[in-house]
Amino acid sequence: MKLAFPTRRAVSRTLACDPLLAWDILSDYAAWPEWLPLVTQATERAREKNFALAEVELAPFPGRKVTIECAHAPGTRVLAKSTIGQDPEFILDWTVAPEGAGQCRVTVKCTWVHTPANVKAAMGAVDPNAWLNGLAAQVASYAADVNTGPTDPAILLEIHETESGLVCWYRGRKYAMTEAS
Amino acid sequence: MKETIRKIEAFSGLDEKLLSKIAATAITCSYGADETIIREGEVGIGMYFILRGRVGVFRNYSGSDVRLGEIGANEFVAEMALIDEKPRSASVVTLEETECVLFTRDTVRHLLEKYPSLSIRLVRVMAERLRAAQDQPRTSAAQPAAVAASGASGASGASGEDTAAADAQAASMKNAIEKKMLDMFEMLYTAKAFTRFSVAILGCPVEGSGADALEVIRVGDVKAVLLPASGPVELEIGAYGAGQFQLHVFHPAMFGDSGPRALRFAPEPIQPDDRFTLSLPDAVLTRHARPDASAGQVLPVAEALA
Repeated sequence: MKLAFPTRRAVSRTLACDPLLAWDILSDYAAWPEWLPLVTQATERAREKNFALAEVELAPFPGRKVTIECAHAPGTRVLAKSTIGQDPEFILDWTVAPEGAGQCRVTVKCTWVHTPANVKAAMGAVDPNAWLNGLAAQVASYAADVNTGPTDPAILLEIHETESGLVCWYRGRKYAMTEAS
Repeated sequence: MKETIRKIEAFSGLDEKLLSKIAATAITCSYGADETIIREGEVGIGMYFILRGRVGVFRNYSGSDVRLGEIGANEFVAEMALIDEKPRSASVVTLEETECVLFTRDTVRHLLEKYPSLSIRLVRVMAERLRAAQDQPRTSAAQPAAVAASGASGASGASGEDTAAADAQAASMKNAIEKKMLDMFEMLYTAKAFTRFSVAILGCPVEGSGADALEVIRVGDVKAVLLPASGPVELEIGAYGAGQFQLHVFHPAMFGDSGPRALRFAPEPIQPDDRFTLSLPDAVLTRHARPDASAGQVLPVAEALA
């Protein structure tokens, strides 16, 4: 019999950003390593409107690829779960709700199945507070751009050269640009 | 979410633990009218259940979108993505404000493997789709839908005046439905979503019965009889008309890495009241002796479909 014990944790925080910005960051699975300390590498394998398949490497388990399935409701929810039968087994369930002007409330519920094989490595890494810190920092970096971003509504497209590379503003929203060749 | 899941007919009667498990991995999503939920050709990763609203199913034929049908509240959309790895075969667009529950493929596959009753419910949903496609009026506007449902190629152009042509069309539709059923079960077995059951697909004009039969799923004249795969079972098959009896058999043990996908028995000429017994898991089909004293015989398997 497999010895496993699931733990559940939920943490919420109010962030100073539009809910859509928080949701965009959360649902950009390939960019999780930029801000989510649990994930060190991520590759999106497939995506359609409400679903995605990605492969991630987690900080406590270097070198081990974990396939995750994601379902997302635009602007409100991002749910990512490891596919069944893998170790570790987990669900990250993010909810984003508007909270007053320019603010949103982000809640992360984490279900993590501890096993004798993963409990030691996972200890400390399963830290939703740290994840929200990472998200807040990511939001802040975008918010800084928001403050210096285009203010003239007549400007549809604007490209900035920043420390982290080229970013493009299109209709008031920021996009990171990557080299095509 | 748990209460929402509980109200879905396919999940009714499931225990609390299972309902909680499904609820933990499903989310709801709202759409405005005229929003594309699924795009033809994209990889299929999940399944939708419509809580309220209505969607249209469209397929692109030579550059123009043809509406294949509509799906409304309390129905699943894109359930085939759960069992096949193929790209989406059609686009799905909301016709009005719509709310759906989203299920990922892995979650449902796991549930199907662990809870066999869900597999049967899923088969019922799929069979209902085939039935609906078959029942569509064959007007010129609906022709692509009939073609899509049947898997046939090209338009029939039948005038309806010629009985022979109508019969041929019916036979072609029956064959197409039978092929769809075979494809459906093959995918279910390949996805290991049907590990607890054997299936006998019967072509007309016969009926299958017996104490071991768990369920008979009918689409037109084609019947799929579900039997438990846990031990030896027998299916009694009786002819109610003259014609050709066709039988395909699926058993989970066949679906090893190099094993056959299904067994096909050679079409057998039959008369009313002819009787057969199918024994599983050995897949032995025996023709009973006729009242006119013709001897009973064991019929050979024609082909192991790989």
